[in-house]
Amino acid sequence: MMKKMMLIVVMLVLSCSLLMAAGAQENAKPVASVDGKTKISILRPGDQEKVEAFMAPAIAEFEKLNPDIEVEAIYESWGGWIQKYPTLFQAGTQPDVIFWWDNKQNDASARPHLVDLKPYLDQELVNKLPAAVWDLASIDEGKIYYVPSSIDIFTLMYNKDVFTAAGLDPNSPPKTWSELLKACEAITANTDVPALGVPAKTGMETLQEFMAHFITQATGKSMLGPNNEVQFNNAQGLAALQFIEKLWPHIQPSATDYGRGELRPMVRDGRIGMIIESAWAIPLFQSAYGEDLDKSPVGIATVPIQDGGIKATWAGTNGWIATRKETAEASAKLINFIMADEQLFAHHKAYGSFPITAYELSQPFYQYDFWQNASKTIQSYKLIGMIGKNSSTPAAYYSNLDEVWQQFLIGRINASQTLEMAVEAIERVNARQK
Amino acid sequence: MVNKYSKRIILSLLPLFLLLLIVYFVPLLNIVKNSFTSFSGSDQGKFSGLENFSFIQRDIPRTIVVTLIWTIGSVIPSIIIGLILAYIMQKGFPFKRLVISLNLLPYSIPLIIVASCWLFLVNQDFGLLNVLLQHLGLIEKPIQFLNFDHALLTVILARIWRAMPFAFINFYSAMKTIPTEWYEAADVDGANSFQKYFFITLPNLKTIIMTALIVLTVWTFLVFDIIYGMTGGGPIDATRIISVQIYREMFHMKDLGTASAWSLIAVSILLLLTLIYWKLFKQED
Repeated sequence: MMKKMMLIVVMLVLSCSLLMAAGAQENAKPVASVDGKTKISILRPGDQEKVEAFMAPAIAEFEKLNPDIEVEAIYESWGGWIQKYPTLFQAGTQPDVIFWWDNKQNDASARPHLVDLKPYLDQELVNKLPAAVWDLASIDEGKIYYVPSSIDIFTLMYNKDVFTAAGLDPNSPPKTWSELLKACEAITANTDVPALGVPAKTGMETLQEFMAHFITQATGKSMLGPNNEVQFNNAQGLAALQFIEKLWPHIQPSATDYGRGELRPMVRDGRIGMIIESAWAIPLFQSAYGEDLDKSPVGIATVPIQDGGIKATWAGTNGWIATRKETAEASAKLINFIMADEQLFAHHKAYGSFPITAYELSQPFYQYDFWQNASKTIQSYKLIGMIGKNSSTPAAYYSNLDEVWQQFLIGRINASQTLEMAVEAIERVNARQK
Repeated sequence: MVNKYSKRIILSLLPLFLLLLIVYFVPLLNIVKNSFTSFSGSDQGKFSGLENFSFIQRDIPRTIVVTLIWTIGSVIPSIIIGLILAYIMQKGFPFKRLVISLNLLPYSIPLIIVASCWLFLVNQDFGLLNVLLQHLGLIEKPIQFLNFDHALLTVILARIWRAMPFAFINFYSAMKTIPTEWYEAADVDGANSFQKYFFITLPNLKTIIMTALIVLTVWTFLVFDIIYGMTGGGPIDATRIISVQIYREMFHMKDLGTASAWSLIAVSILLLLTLIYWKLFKQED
């Protein structure tokens, strides 16, 4: 009798657990139109403190202006989000509005969920963003699946004290590849610190971006064409790799231990000479030296270009997507609101992004030389986008190339072998898509 | 009477059998099916023969070797250290309970936290290990624990630190069950400590050693957190074990077919390892 009772109890507990698990999944789905209000969620991945600084007041004001819409902010780190998003999209529990990447619009997880925002967006918003930024972001002529909100280009960030110690002029940073190499050689010869920081941690996509910067400058094209075909298997691509090979003796030891987050404080503290970085590093430097970095020990300059080469730079954008048709109108209203001049400025200021609108450029915060120079670069340089924009598996290219670049970095293969292996790595991804 | 008893046993086991069917056999069948189905390109959903295996063929030998080094390199030292510590802990000494508790501490820490702790420990700029070795004058320059040459050894050390307490507590409690009279009789016969350990302690621990060996092998073989947290499977492919490959195929390549193919390889190797262990165990018996 006792055993039977126990068996029944065990069965009941198991059944309840299964039911609860199923119920929990059901509840996880965002609910629309609760109590007459449309409920939507928004996710801007990144450092929660920075995101909350502009997101919380923006949502409060938006809800005041739109009492029929309730917004829930979701916070998640970039690393956590990269790991979670495929599962959330698969389960249909992704947030309604997401800060996304321009090169992941065709990502197999997200693509079926993207909503064309064109019918809902303010024309004023469409007009105020530079055409070059829209070019990077567009995947389908005539439709807007993604509203670019920030643009990232590389700049050269360097420590002026290290430059002085190396006998270099801290007010005259390298402007060309050969000057960059000379600066590296001087720092290596005259100081104890590594001349150049390269973020090469596995799986972080940062080494690919570093490599892509030099390759795209040399070729003048994105590494992959419209059909993901290789566009760097040529003399220019090889020249870029041969130049990078000359930089390797001057980078930090065990480079694969470092991501961008580890290198930034090293430049700030003079433990490394230079890094090639985007505006994301600026808040860290400003927290140490104040808003005006022109007078700080950290120098921020236009990234060196190839000697006699074209003015081109690697560029990537992040922007907003809406992921549910049922809440598309409310989502678009929210996107219109957070892309308004004041909100966009607050977002860029808190997180460290280059100014992209006329309103931002007129703000006192952006009047320092380092911001203005970067802004001129965005306007006058050829912006070459990230790889994978036309693929359903953009991360596959990064993953395969990462392995090749790391082998090159630690000296297991030379420039021409690297070129050959990089081409093969891309073709392996393309072969699966046929 | 026998029939009634058998019926009761079958009925009692039925819920467990159903649960195992849902939790293990259905996913396993799915893995087998998906391994031979295309999930990329224009042939999605169609039977693809060995195509998924051909996509990963290039990585199979190296990944299996790394996985076996990782597994055997972690499990055997964990068992040996666990045995030694369990033997030492049988003796009486001050603060014995505290030492036992400290020994068990790593086992209570989640794997991803273990990865973070070890990252801080082996960091070449501010890691405790490098700082300590430099202060002791044993090294001049920091050791690059996570570079291509050392990364696998470093993650193995982290795994040993985490797995050893499991072996230790099993052996420690099993040793407690060995009658003290046997040791006393051995003393009377003039046996030394070495002889007592090898002729009384070890033979009595055989079953528990085999169990710990199998359990730790299966667990270690499938560990993902420590490696992903410490190296992400890199540099290059230095620490890319099968579980990292499954993740890579599933989330980077977005290919359920090749991820399933890797899973099938993992299941087959585990099955083979377990069979070898059992065979060895039975031969010894």
